[in-house]
Amino acid sequence: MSIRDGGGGGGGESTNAGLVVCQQVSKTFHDFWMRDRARAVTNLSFEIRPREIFGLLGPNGSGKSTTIKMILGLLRPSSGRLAVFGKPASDVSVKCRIGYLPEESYLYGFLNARETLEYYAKLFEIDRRTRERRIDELLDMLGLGGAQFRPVREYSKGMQRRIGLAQALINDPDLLILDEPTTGLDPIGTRQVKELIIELGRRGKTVLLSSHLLADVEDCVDRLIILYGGQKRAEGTCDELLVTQSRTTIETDTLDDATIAEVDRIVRSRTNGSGGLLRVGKPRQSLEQLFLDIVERAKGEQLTTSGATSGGQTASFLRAPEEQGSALIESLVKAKDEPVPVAAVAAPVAPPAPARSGSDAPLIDALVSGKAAPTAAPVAPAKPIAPTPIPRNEGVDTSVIGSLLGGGPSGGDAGPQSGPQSGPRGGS
Amino acid sequence: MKWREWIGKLDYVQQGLWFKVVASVVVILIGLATLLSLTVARAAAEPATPPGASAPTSPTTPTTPAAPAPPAEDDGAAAAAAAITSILDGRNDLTSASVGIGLAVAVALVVVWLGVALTYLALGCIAIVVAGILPLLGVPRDAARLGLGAVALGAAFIALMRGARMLLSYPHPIIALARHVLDEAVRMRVSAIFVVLIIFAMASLPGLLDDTQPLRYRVQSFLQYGTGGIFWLISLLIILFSVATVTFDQRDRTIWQTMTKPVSPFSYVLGKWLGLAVLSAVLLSVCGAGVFLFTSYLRSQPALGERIAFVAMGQESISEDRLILETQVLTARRTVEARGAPVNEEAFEQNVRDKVAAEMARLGELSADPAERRAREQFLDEKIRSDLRKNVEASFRFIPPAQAQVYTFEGLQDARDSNRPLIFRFRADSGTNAPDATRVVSFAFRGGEIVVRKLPPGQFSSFPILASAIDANGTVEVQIFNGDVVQELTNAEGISFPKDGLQLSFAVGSYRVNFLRVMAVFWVKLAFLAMVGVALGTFLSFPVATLVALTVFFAAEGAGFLTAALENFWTEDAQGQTMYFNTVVAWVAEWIAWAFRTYSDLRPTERLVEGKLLAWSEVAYGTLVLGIWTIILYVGGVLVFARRELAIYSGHS
Repeated sequence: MSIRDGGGGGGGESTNAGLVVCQQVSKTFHDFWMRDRARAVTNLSFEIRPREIFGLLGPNGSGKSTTIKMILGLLRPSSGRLAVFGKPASDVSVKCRIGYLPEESYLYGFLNARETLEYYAKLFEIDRRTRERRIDELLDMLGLGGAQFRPVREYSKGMQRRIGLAQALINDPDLLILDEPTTGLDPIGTRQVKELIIELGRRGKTVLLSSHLLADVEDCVDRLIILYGGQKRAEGTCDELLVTQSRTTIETDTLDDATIAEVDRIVRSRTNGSGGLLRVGKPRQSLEQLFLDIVERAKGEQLTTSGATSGGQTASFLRAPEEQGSALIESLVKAKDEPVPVAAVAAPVAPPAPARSGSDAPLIDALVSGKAAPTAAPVAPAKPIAPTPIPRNEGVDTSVIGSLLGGGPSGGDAGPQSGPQSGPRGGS
Repeated sequence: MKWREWIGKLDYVQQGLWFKVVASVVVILIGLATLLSLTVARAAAEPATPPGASAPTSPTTPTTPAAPAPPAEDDGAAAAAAAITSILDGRNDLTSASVGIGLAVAVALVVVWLGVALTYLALGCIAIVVAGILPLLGVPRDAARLGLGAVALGAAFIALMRGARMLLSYPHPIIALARHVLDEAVRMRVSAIFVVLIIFAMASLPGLLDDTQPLRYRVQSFLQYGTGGIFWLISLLIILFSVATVTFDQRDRTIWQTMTKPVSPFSYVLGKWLGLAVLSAVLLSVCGAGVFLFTSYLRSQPALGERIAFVAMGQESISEDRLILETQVLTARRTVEARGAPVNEEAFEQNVRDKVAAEMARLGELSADPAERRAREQFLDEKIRSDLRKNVEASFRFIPPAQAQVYTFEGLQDARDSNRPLIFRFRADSGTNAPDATRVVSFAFRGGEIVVRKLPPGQFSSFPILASAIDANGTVEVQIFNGDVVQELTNAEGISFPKDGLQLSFAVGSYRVNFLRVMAVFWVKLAFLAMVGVALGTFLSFPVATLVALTVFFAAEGAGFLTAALENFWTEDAQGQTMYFNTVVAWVAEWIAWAFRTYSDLRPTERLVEGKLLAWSEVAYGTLVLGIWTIILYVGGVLVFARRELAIYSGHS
């Protein structure tokens, strides 16, 4: 069971039915003379379940955006069946529950940020009071409050990305579709987007995340598929796809050579000489974490910027109920008349930190992915997850992805692994 | 912070509730303070009453002991003094001032609650600079007037746009899209330029009038350019902008964000059209109000032959210029044309049969095929019938020298009942219509009224006749003599009257209501053009859609001309051989003339300038027909739009 099952309930969909069902979908583009120009997607089948964060991974031109546009009704499948919320993708009623961020921010340059959000909110028929509050909160959350009266055309790419994200969230969607959401964002914005996705996931929202940036997907998603050449090449949870079951990583405080040798000896003796320490080294801080630390220090020195600021906390209407109060959230959630899982009402909600750490992790993994709970970890982590940094793509066996992406960005070498905590959404 | 950001911030502030409340309080306080100051100033200006005096006295009151009036004149003098006192007391009456201040406060409150208080303050400052400071710096007065006019029109435009935006503030996709179109209109370059151009064109029109011309021509010129010219400008704006707002959405892919919201193709097309229709209404309201107010101002100016407005020079009760202005321009006349030639139908039919038979006999050996002969016979019948009818009519409208012809006008019962004078309008062609030649024509009406007019041929002329010329059946008969029947002179050449060259007209309504109807027709046309642009924009690119939409516009505007031109357009040569190119051209032209007949027949500008009635029934019929076309285009646009894939392939091909 995902940790969101206990706290969100905003989606209200039956867990048995896929929120998005894609069966044998193909898409062929034609030229003016109706000759086949390109086959973007071929016999693609997958299902996005309610309240899961689903990744769509693949290199440029692999069919990710085409798939998303078919889900949104902007394109029609050439063959196959595609249903969203149990209805055809072109059905207007399902769009009330969808938020969409395209791969580029296609905004009206002559409007300012507030007017932009106002316009999109009205398309959702959101009343004035709610609209004003959500706009204020989103602008604050995305750090655009100081630039809200500037025409959007004068925004930097990152700021436009932020306002694009805001418009995708203005309706508090049940299904959020993010196409390359971190493109153009600085590391702070990137981290914020990832945190937001995780937060939305905890609240019971379903997120479809499309990216060719592996770290983006890895940090957030429950399940993912990998596309190449318009076809599905792999599907599963991050653990299923990334964890190397034949290796174990142990992370401790610094050890002297003698201790390391002792550990090696123990391992060899326990494995009858077939195993041993393959690599020993010091864990390295990620560049992203270094950058974030520097910015945090700069903020402490009260340095100003004319662009987007780092933003405030997540908008209250997007936050999990335990943080804002269930009454307020319920008033904001449009589909409040939909069935709420019993657990959402009865069970206390877990705090936002490590989704699959500690003693709950095996149970959560078992319920989410359906796989058997792992046996006892070789070493119980004393500090399972660092409080803020998003873990670098360390210790991931990227051979699968690397082979599929044809030399695309890979997870790097098989260095010291950070241990079993590097699961989905483990970094918040 | 850039100026655009400042403007955005100030605009947000002036639309806030707190700002409106505070500004309202300030406005009311200023109004009260002004009224109080005025009251105090008036009280201070009154002559001080000496202590012990029983009542305030006036120097002219008979109670003044120094000038006792003779008893015989006492009553008259007292009345005069009382009247003067009453007038002078009126000076201290604060009622008018209070009403004025109240109105000003009310207008200011409307401005504040429309959320344009700061905008109006800025416009006020600009007006002060333009009117007060620029002339001191040597800027021509006309330029200052132009600037002031533009500021006034701009202020009206801003207020109306804000009002329209407030009306369209309800959160619904169609209404949100409509409001978005309004925002787009003033911020997109393609439309903003036109809006500015329209405002400046409108403001500059008064400066183009020639003060030496008769007043009626000035009014007509102003109405012609003020309504017709501005309608064309607004039409071009609406066409370009309607195409742009839809095609640019697709080009810039902003439509992806819109159509992934709960917006159906039905809502999208309707929302865009609604915004354009509201924009048209706003622009027409601003320009229409400007035209109407300035026409009213022109009307209050002295006409040719007047000492002051409405007071003729010499012994005449009214000047000719004023008479024509009031009875033929600033009015709503119904026009009746002379009845056609009285034809003996039996003789006519016999004549046609004889001619057809003769022609068939002449062509007998050309074809032995019965079907071909029948087709040929039918063609000849139609052509001979048509030509003969034209010849009879032309003959009826031709008067040889020193001869007369009687023409009849029917359906004038209403004019007879109203007992108002009628206007007889005519155009007599003669020879080559040389401009330096003149012809004398005499007109005799029932009751013995005879009018003799000397005029250059080929030009319209008019004169009033009494309603007594209409008989009990509502018919007027006029005998027209080619020459001067009084002095027994005759012209050297015959005269003829074209088809619309003999008209009787009479006032059936006011100019003001006619103006309103003309504006309504303009709006209906603009709404139709907006749908043309939107529908084309759903499946064509901007340049192509614009080209097609402009073609439709020009075709619609020129349909009347096409109809007239087709009468003299031949699809066969002199030998009766079909000219295929001409046939295609004629077919296309006929189709256009048919499709836009209603659009063309309305002719709002022409009717306004010539003071002709545009009846509500015509407005309703035009609205119905153009409305049906608009709906057809709408349905077509929605169907095309719904079938389109809005996204494109962005991967590797």
